[in-house]
Amino acid sequence: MRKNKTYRLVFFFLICFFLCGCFPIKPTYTKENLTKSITALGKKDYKLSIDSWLIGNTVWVRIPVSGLFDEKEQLKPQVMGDLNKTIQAATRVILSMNPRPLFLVAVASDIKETGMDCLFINYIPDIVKFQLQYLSRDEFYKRSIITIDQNAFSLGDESGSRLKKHDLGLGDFLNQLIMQRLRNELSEIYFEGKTWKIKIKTKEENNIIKILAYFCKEYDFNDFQIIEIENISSGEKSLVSKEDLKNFLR
Amino acid sequence: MNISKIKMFLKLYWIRILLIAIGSILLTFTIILMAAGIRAMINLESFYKQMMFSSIPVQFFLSVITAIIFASIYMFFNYWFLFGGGMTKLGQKRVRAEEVNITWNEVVGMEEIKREAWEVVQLLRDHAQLKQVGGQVIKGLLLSGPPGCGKTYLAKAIATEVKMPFLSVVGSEIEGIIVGLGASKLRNLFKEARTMAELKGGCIIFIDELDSVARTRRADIGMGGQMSANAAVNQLLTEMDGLRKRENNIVVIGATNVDEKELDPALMRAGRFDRKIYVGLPGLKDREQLFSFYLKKIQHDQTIDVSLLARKCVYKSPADICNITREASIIAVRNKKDSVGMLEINEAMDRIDLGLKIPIELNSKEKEQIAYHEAGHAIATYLLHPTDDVFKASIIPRTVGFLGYVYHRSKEEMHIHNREYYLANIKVALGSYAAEKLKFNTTTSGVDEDMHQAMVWAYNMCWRWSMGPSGLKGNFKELEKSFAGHSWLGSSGSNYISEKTKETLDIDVQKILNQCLKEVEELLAKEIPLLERFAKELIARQELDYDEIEAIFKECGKTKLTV
Repeated sequence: MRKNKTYRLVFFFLICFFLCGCFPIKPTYTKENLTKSITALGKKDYKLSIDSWLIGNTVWVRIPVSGLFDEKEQLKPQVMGDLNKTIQAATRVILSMNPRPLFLVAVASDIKETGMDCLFINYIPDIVKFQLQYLSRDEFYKRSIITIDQNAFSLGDESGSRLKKHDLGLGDFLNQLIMQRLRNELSEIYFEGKTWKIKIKTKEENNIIKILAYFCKEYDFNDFQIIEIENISSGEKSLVSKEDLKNFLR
Repeated sequence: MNISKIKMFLKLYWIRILLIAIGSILLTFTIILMAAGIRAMINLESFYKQMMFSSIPVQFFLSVITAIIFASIYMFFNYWFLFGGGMTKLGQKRVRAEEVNITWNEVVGMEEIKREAWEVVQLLRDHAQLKQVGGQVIKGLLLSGPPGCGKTYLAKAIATEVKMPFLSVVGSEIEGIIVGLGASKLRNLFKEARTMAELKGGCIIFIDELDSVARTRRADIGMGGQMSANAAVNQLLTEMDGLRKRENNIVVIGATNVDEKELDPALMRAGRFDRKIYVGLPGLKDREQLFSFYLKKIQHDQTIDVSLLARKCVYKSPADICNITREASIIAVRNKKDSVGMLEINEAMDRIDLGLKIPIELNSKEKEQIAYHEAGHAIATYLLHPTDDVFKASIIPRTVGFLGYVYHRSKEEMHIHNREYYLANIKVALGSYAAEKLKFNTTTSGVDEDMHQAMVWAYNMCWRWSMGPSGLKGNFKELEKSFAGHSWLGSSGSNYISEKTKETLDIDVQKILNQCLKEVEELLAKEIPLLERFAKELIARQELDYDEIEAIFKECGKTKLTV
């Protein structure tokens, strides 16, 4: 009898041991204290003064810097390092909350010299996948959008109040991502209602459709009815349906 | 009082105290580390906490799989090295009796030995009957003797006759680089033999080069090697006469070239190696049989006189005789002949005894010096040696005799020699020196080996065999050896022979050498025509065979000294 009890106890602990990953864990951060938590974490663990905002499903984090580029017109290592730390602080908070926002925009604003903003935009499910090693480092960076914006208002803006912040949608994000991937081949990409309008410079239409199909599949993006591809050099237009896009990858 | 008690306590339990102190420090550190770890885990953000908990089962399974793989590798190597795996079976061959397939009739050239061995075969065959009358089965048979005399062959024939499985192992392969491997291999060998014995009614274990595992046990000198060797001997003792639940019909046949005295006495006692057979060099009749046996296997001239060959091959082992016929067949093929004749056999014997010819171009002066040198040996042998005949004289350089040689030996095996024999040997060796001196009034470095031989014989006569002219008696060399101590640096010992005795013995050596040289010089001075004739003939023909040598001596009116 006593032996049975011991066996049951051991069995119970073993089950708990193996299934401990299945039990829900209370999120460390909440939507309400998100911005404060990022700022506090930045100050405590990274010694950085990070400003943060939550706009819809997009988290904006910003650090003011003095000059973005060095003599070789490359991002200064110091700026890169601080921006990385900012992203890390924001990521730690975002990942440990439920529900999570969808986009993270990290901005390094040159408030002293040029008034330029360097933006790193990431889709948060991509960050989760990268953390869980579903995505390689290379693929993760390919899925990050890096842009430089001229924003004269940034000069002297210590608090980041003059930063143009808005909520990002998956469509906007994909437009920018595809644009970045095919910068030399695309002329313009935007939505007009439910029509995905793509203006291209090259004859390599298939290559572009392939990229579109890949991203639509990877991000499970269906919020359009048809794709209109316009070759601006010849003026020819072609339409690609959702079904055609799916078939393209087969 | 209290301090002395504490001191006593520390003295008695210092190891325990040290271990407890170390244990406590380690435990404290472990607790601190664990507490820090748990704290860090609690403070982890929820995402990373979840990630960690989720990976626990995977990590656990990976650890278990890794542990299983490493444990399997460890167990495999452990088994392979020590417990009956491949390493312990290296050098061990299992052969069925029918695979050995060497019949009793094929064992030739050892009739007397065969008679002794046949008795063993009968005892092994009738072991059931022997047990009925309360007799003990033979446990071991030791075959000792010089190499190439057919010990292995005889063992195989015994296995064929008694129709038992035959496990063959070479002693030198039993010992290995790992201490205890030898004992382990023996244990497995006997284990397999017992299984075979149960299945087939008996088993023969043949250990070739038994001395490798059966040398007398000695204290280890600190390197551990002797411990391993001792362990192997102990294992062999246990397996041959240890406590067993059931007695099996296992017979160990050991073959060795070393003297029985060098093997462990415990192995030699009754109940272990019960029977001992000395497989020595074949006698005249045996050699005839061996030549007939091996010549049957090749195409040969039917006129070959095997009795003549047997007489020419004194001190040759069966392996040597086999080698002569094989070499002769190769020479016959090279000479494009259909069958082996006496010429090929003679050439084969020369090649084996004296080595291959060396293509050295000698000038006429050198040839003359060598010819007189060899003539001195030949005349001294013919006229002064009581037992040896001159079979060949040559001034063709060969690998064994180098620039020239005189091949002489007795017509039949001799196992003991008297003073006159050794004196004659010395005279024969010094014949070259005397001849060179007489002819050229100088001597050459060609006498190097002759002088060495002469000195060795003279030394042994005086130091070992009490044959010196001073009359000193005793084996002084053995005396030194008997009392010498052994250390790992070699043998060392006190000096048991006085300086005066040593001086006398050394004077005796020189007296013998000088007396022999004087006699040879006198002989050659008297036989100058014979010396000239022999040397000139040798220069002309390069090589002289037995008949030609006999003819020269007869022409000069000389007859062989016979005793």
